[in-house]
Amino acid sequence: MEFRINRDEFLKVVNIAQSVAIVKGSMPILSHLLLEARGDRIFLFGSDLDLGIKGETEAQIQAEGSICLSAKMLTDILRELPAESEVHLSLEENNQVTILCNKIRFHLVGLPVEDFPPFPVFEGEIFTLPKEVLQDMIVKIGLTVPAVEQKHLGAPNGALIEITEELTEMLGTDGHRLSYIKKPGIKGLKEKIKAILPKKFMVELKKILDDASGIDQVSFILLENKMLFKIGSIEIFTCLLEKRFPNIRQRIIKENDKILLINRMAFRQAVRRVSIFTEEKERFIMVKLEGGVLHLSSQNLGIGDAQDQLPVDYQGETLEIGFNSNFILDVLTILGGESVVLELSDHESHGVIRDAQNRDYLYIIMPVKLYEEEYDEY
Amino acid sequence: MDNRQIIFQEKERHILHLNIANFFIAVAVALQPRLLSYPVVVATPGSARRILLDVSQKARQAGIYRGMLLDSAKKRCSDLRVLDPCPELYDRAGCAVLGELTKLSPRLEPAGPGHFFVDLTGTDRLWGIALDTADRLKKTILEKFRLSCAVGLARNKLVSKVAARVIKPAGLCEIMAGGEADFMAPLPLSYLPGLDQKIIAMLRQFNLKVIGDLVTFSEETFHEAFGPKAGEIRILAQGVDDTPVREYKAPEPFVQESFVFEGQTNDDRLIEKALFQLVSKAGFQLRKMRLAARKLELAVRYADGVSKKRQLLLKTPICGDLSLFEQFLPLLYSAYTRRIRLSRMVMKLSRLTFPYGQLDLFGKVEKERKLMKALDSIRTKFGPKAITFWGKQA
Repeated sequence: MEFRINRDEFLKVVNIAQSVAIVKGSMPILSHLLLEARGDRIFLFGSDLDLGIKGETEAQIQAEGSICLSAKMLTDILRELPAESEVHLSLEENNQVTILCNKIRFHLVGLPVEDFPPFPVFEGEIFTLPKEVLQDMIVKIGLTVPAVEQKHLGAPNGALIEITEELTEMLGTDGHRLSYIKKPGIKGLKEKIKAILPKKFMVELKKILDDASGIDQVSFILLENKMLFKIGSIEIFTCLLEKRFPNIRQRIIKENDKILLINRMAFRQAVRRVSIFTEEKERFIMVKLEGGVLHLSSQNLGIGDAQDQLPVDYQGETLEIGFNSNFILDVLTILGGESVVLELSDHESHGVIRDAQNRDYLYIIMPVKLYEEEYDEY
Repeated sequence: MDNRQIIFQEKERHILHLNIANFFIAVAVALQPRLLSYPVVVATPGSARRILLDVSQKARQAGIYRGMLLDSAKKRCSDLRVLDPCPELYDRAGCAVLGELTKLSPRLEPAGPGHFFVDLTGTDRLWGIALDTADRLKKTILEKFRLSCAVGLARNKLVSKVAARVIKPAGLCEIMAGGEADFMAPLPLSYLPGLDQKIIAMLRQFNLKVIGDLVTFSEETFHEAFGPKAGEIRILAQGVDDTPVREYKAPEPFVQESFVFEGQTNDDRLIEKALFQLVSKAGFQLRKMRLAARKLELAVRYADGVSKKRQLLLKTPICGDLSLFEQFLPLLYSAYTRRIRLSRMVMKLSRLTFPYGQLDLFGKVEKERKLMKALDSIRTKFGPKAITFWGKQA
């Protein structure tokens, strides 16, 4: 294998593939990238067995071939080379690679390609989704998906995606809050697609989507227990989580009777202000609805307290409810509209926050218990 | 600092040093008084090259000393009783003694296993003169915990420590103000804290045998031989020490439970069952305190004495038996990895906090809370075995 390539182009594709490489692990091959020179392009594969990324770019290939190189070493070498310079890479005996750039020379020992885990081939029935739709879904659902499974709360570390001809739906929950989004389905889809996408995959996919400019559509295929996405020249696959996703449809269907229209930015600023005095771990704020005013308050014993209020169009009975301020701030940051709708019921039932203009996205949060019932004396 | 303060500090300080000689052995003897009639040692766990951590008086008379190899010790004394160290027990004993000392003064400093400094300065009106307080304390510790101790009382930490060393293993010794240097002068060098065997050997080369010799020895020669440390040693030898007794900060509360496998086992079912029993006991205590734990620790000890410990820090505190067991089970299998039988398992719950009021979507936490509340009330009325879980671990 021998090729010449622009350093910046090479580094760009290495950066994409190395994000899934495992630096310290029991399988050394997973800390490596598979580098393949074929035709007039080079291909780079990174994998942690559950998640894999393939990137490619143009290069002047003098001899085809492949080798596994340490992801960290390759990234460090390329970062230290002068920008816009030409890099010459050649494979020599005993899996040794020589990297030349001007007068700089590196020798890097690689591993045989046979040990590298196989990467699925993008073949089969191809489905497409608009890039912006997928991006929006991942951002809005990703914030409620925990990085680690919350077993005691029954929340998996993944988001459920269901695609039919009519609807594309995505749900995520961390046990304390859940988010739901619906978008148009895929026309002509014969069979319903249902899968749980791991949080780690969502993070990587979001990064790729954010960097992909000039691409409108994202295509994907479903394999036995994997899903393979293609965004331009980049392919990313994930093993799907084989877990039971909790039944949360009932929460989405149930409607709350106290509906308030609030300016999003004013609400966000008020919550931020009162959350200064919340306790670090629980972040508890009190929301009181009384006579056309939404009172927000917090208290930290021995430190101080804070109060703020917002005018709302509400004349019903008084309601006091506690929430984790971080849960409210998270959603107010990602919603884009001018106003949001806050739906409440009673102090022990969930609250709903959604965009005033758009009913496609729901964010449901459970309250913090205000009144601790008497516990038996031991 | 005004003069009155200085006078008060130097002349009126009453520093008590409590020394429980051979603490590890003393604790073991307090629990098994029959050990008193044997030479006893505590040795590091393991099967090879066990080193003696503590040695009883009788064992010392047989020529056994701390730091010796157990094999050599056994050759010198055939009826030697060997004990494994039990850190939890020593902690418990140390905490019990500390609890007694905290009643006397807030200025309290633990100084190693079985060693404590208490600043009794200014407590005369509350507890009577310091000497009487020290005597009462000595008797209380003996009666309450069956631990005999030596108590040294002086104007500073250094002299009180030496005084306790002099009358060890039991007794009370007070050094009056101004008599520190005279008290220290005839004592052998090994009584002076801070001098290791290497320095003592060097001092002996200069024919210095007692602490008083360090003061009378030529300052210049002393400085040439020991460098800047010479000045420090001379000051110590005169019984001068102005270091304060640090204020005692009580350790964070925790819940700890342990399980000893009779005859040792490597049966996963029995081990999981023991884990569930520990969880039930610890969880009950936690709920009784109306607290929940954020830090979970589990230590297992293998039959060959090797211990392994694993810990987990949770974002949300938990107190229910089922949640605790769910978190402890992976901890158990990350600690229990060797193919050797287990002899003991210790569980510790710390970072205790009030349970969060955050409700969950699926009511799992609330459901468990209600279940535990019902079980706890039954167990409180009819005993811990009145109602148990059914399942493979129960």
